[in-house]
Amino acid sequence: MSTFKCDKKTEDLIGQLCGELKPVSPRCPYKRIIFWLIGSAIYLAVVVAYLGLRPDFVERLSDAKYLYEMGLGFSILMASAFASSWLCFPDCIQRGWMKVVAVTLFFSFSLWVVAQSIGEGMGLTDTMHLGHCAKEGMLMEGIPILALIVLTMRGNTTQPYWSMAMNIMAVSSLGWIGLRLTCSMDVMGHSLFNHILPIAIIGAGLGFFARKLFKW
Amino acid sequence: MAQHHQNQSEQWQEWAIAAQAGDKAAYAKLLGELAPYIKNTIIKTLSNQDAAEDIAQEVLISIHKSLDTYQPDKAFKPWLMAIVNFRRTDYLRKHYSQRQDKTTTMDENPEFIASNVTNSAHAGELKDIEAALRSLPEQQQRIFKMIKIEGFTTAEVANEMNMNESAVKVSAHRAMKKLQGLLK
Repeated sequence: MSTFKCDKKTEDLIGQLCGELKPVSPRCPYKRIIFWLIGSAIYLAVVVAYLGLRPDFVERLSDAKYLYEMGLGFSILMASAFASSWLCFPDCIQRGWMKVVAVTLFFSFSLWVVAQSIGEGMGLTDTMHLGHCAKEGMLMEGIPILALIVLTMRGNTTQPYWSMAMNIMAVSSLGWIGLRLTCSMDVMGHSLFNHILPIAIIGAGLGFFARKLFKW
Repeated sequence: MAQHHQNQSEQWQEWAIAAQAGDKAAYAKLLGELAPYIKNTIIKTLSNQDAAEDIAQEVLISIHKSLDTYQPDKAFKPWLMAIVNFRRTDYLRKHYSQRQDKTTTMDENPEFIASNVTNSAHAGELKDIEAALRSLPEQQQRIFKMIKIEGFTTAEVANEMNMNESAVKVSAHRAMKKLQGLLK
């Protein structure tokens, strides 16, 4: 961390910066996020193994709706994670399309969730799962979100709110995939309120601190 | 002109790549050229010279901190401008949030007005106008100021100066013509 202050004359500052120059390798935009994806996948696998796969998992694999939701969740995870990685670069605006892809996928997913919820009903009568899934979701998402925030803090983002939004989208997708592997309740209203809403609320709260968290 | 900008950008790109490899001389050249460029860029949207200097220095520090994020195969200027815009926005956000509890009247604080409100680029023009106005006969000066600056009507000025209205109009018109001639 540099200790320069702006009360020096510009010439002195330049001299000091040159004196502190050390060779650096251009940062690879994908390296850190690939490590995060691999680490998160391993962590999720461990948590899912600990909690146990849903009993009807094999049957679900032949259900197109289930596979579509999982596929969409995986796509959002990848798109938002890579967008988050690019947002750690000051000139991320040159890759603005990455955010667009992630947000478009997210809206497709939201529309799907809303449409399914209207069709199926909210499914809130089964209170057995209330709170239970939210806790499991936190277990699946807690460490990955902390890791991703640390990665972003070590970056140099010029769009802190977008960075936080992409981080939350990536982690909530990860949690979604994990909960669909462990929770046997397929009613969309339940997924909406117990799988997505808790992380969405936490994400919105973290969003207020994005600029301070990602200051550099 | 466009060719010059392209050459300049390519030169900066070369120096930035050399700086990433640890070349201090190239880095000094890069920062030395960037400092006035950044300041000039900022001064176009901020009239405060001191603030522009501060932001320019913040940008130089940010460049230093994020040198490894510059991709050698990409153009240098978009990377630089992203940092400049980010730091300028940061400054403006702080500036406006701090201004909420700081109010001043124009009469109480002429130094503040001179440094923050009057665009320094226009200060020269203002002085020229004042000098031209001083060169007019005293009566014409007074009539011109009352009508054009203070907003009195010709009837009010005529009443104030014990003149008839048409004489006031003629005097104001002549003053305007003389000023136009002097300021061409």
